Amino acid sequence: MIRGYFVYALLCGLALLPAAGPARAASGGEPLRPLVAIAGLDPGKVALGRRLFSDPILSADGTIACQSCHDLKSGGSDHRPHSIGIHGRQGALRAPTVFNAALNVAQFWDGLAATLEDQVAGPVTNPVEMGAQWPALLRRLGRDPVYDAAFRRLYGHGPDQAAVADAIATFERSLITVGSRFDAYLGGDGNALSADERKGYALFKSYGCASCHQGANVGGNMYQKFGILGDYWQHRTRIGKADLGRYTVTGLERDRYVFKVPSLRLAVVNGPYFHDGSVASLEEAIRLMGRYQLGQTIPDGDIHLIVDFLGSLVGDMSAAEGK
Amino acid sequence: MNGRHVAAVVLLVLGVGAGANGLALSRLRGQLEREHGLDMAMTRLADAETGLDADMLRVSSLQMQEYDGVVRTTHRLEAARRGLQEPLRAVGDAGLERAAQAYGDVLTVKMGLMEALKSTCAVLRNQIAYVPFAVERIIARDHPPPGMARRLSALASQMLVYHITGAAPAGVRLLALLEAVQTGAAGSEVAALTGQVRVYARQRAELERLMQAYDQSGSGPRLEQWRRLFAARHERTETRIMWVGTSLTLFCIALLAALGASMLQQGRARAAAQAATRHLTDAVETMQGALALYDHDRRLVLCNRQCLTFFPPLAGHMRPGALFDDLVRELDRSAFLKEPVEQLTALNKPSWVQHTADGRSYLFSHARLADGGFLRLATDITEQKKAEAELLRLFTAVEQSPAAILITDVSGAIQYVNPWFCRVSGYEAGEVMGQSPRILKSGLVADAVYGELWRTISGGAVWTGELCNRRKNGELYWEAVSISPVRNDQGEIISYVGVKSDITEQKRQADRQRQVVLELERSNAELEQFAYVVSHDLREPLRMVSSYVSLLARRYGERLDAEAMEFIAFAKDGARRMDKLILDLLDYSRIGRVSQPFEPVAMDEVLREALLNLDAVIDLAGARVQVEKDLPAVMGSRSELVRLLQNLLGNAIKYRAPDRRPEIAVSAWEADGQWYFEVRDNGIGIAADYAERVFGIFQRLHARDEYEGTGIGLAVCRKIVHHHGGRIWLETSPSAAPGCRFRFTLPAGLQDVAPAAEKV
Repeated sequence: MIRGYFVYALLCGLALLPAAGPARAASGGEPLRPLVAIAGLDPGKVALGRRLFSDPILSADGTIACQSCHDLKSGGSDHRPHSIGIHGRQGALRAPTVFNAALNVAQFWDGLAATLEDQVAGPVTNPVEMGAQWPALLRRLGRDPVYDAAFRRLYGHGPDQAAVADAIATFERSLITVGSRFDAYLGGDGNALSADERKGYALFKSYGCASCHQGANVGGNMYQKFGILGDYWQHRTRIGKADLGRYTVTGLERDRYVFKVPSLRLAVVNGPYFHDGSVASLEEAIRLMGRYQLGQTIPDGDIHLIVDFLGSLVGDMSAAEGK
Repeated sequence: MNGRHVAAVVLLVLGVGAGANGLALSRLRGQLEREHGLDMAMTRLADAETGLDADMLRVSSLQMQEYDGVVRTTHRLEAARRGLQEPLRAVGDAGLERAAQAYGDVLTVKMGLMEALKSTCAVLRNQIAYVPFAVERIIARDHPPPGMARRLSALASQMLVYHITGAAPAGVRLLALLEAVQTGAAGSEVAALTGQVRVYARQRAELERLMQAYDQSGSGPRLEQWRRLFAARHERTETRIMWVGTSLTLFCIALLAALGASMLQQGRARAAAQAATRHLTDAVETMQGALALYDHDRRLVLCNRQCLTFFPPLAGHMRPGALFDDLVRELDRSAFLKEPVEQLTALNKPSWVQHTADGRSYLFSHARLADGGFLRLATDITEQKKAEAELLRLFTAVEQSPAAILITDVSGAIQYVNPWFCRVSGYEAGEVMGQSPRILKSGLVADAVYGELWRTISGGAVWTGELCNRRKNGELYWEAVSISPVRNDQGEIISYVGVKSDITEQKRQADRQRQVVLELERSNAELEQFAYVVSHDLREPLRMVSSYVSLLARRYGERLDAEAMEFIAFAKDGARRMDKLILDLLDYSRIGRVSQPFEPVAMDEVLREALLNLDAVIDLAGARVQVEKDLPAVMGSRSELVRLLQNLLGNAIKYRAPDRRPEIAVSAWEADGQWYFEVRDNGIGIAADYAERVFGIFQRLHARDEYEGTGIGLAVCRKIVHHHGGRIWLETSPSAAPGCRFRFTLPAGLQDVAPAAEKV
């Protein structure tokens, strides 16, 4: 009886196991999911947020807009290891893309901001980013008749921090890169992916990448320690505050070197890689990930297949332009 | 404080009570609503936490392939946490806030644990997938010894079992198994597998710890604590609401009862008010003037029919509720009024006069009412205005009249004088008001005249005549006066109007003319007389008589006897006296006829000259002349004044008492603006009966043989004094002293006094 129960449990466990094989066909129970646009956004607020996003009026000296580091025309990022703020100041981290950021469990590499709204305030007032002060910024916006009218129409009052944050966050929620070939494949279109891409996807799952780079955003929905199966940091010559990851937010030892798992949706267009932009090529990033996160050495062929697969994740980025 | 006030106070108190209760209730209701809001927010949060707990179970049982659902739960929880802040602030309960904070802190911990669980489980899931795969590959590729292969397979199976059952000790056993595998076969694949399994074991233990921590996070008790606090508070609020609601109900019942009572009372009051309104309307309608009442919105409340009679253009517009400004505009459009309508709209003048284009006049009055409204009253004053204008014309005529006009009441008290009166009389109008016209009396008009005047006017007739009055400065003046009685409608005399023209100048002129005429007449008569005397050679025959009598005496004196010579002597004496008489008469007639201008004359010198002329007489009589005081200087004719004193002194010596030595005293004093002179003697005196006669010409009181004289001396004196504007008389008042006292006056002052016209 006991044995029978054991066998039953064993069978159940096997059935529940995801991606137990190296090359399973796309079907139900996938660790990745198609992107779906967020419904119910106020088009007016989206438009206002778009305008604010691209307007350097938010920065102290009128030189830097959100868009300056999150270029919506090239993947929502600036392709620099460290972003450049006002007066040419350099930040410590790689600017993550704003596309699909709404799906993230939290914002910033270390998850400092629990919401997009909280996140807006960060770069705006960060002295090495936009370096602005809210009162002065709101005065600038209030003096602009177009902004003032828009805020009054949409929020019933002149611009304030909450409204500015809400508008920009609302805009960012509209930045979902739907319509990728991979999503079509997940939707049942077996021909949406090439054979290599399908192979790449299978490898992606079987190597265990999909354990963390998972969900609709292929990442972004959890935190993970950088260096689970190998000490990534022992080769680093200099470890800065930005490298401590979530530890800087929670102060918990278990959060040392813990970062938000980045989305791989736009990985093929959004180098350089990792929180500090220290890796220029996607292949190298995959290799490092295999070594330190998975404890495996992924052969170059597999890496190329995985890169092929990652290419199929890129969806429509034209939502950013309001079309 | 009457019943109405009491009712009002009661209603007010009840109303305030109900209002306060209502406010409190609405405040409490608001609070209750806020508490409900907070409760709902907390429920959402607790719900989200429950979702997180469910997710945790799924995550930790490694059943979750992807965490998008957990992210949604996390976002929901985060939103619920944030959504709690506003209701918490709204309720404003520090205890609840602390409890919520404690609960929130636990949630933060739980969310942190959740993230760690996610990470750990992702690794575990990966190992569970990877280890069997690696085992399979090692067996297939490296063909290990059967024992080893069996152990490796067991390892993979056991990992699955551990995974499913979650038995903690399995990790240890697994590691022990791994030791055996490692020692059995060398190779990188196995070493790598060993590493994986180690990580798995570590993560598995971590998962156990995390789950335990999650379970022990203690969010339950904190939530329970919060709920307890909240329930207590909520109950308090509801209890208070119940009490306040009950209180409000009671107040409302009382208020309704009071209102009911008050409405009954108001019903009676309204009936009374309607009656009052009826009376008011009746009263307003019977008014002579046009009345319109406007409320504080300047809307017409009430007006009478006279409004339309007076202002025809407003017909059809003066309805209750009509706007005041519209009515004014209507009047303006109709051009009914002569003046601009701005006067009408001004609300600050108490009254003004408005004329219409057709010549009528209305007196407007404006009264502000307590409630902010105002009252307009228009009275037709056209007739009064006309009468006023008439009166004004008359008054102007009277005021500017070149005749003095004086109005008295029936008792004779002055009520009005015109400026000319003041100019003539010298009195200010204010001085004579209420006085009697008697103040003007000069005393020179016989009382009989006044008596007749009063009889005439009080009998209703007009008295006309001439009166000599005295100005304020004492000057006399003559007036032609016409006094008419004024009667009222009942025929009663209510006042007298005197119209007087100053005729002093005319009078004086007439007097002067008359005097001139008289003087001329008299002069002429005298001249005629003298001319007659002279023309009949009065003195020539006399001289012939005298001469021939003298010749007779000289040539035939030796031949005539003594008696004849005596006769001749009588004749000669007669002739001589006759001559003297004629000379005196010539002197007398010369006085005043030959008028030379007066000059200042010192009466001392005059007296001295007179005494010098009388020197022989005085010596002969042994008379003593005494001047009691220095005599003044006067304006006059020196020679005449010498003659005056000489005559008076000569008389005093001539009519001396035989038994006593003549004593003559001359004195002078000033009084009433003139000099009084007195010549007193101790002579025989003059009987009072003759006091007047003595001044007559040729009047003699004594036989010629007693006292020599022509009887012309005092007549000359009187003429001289009159010529100088004075008078002369014999003082007849009783006196102990014998003799007589002649007194005369001369005007005082050395002004240029014209010689007075001679009066007889």
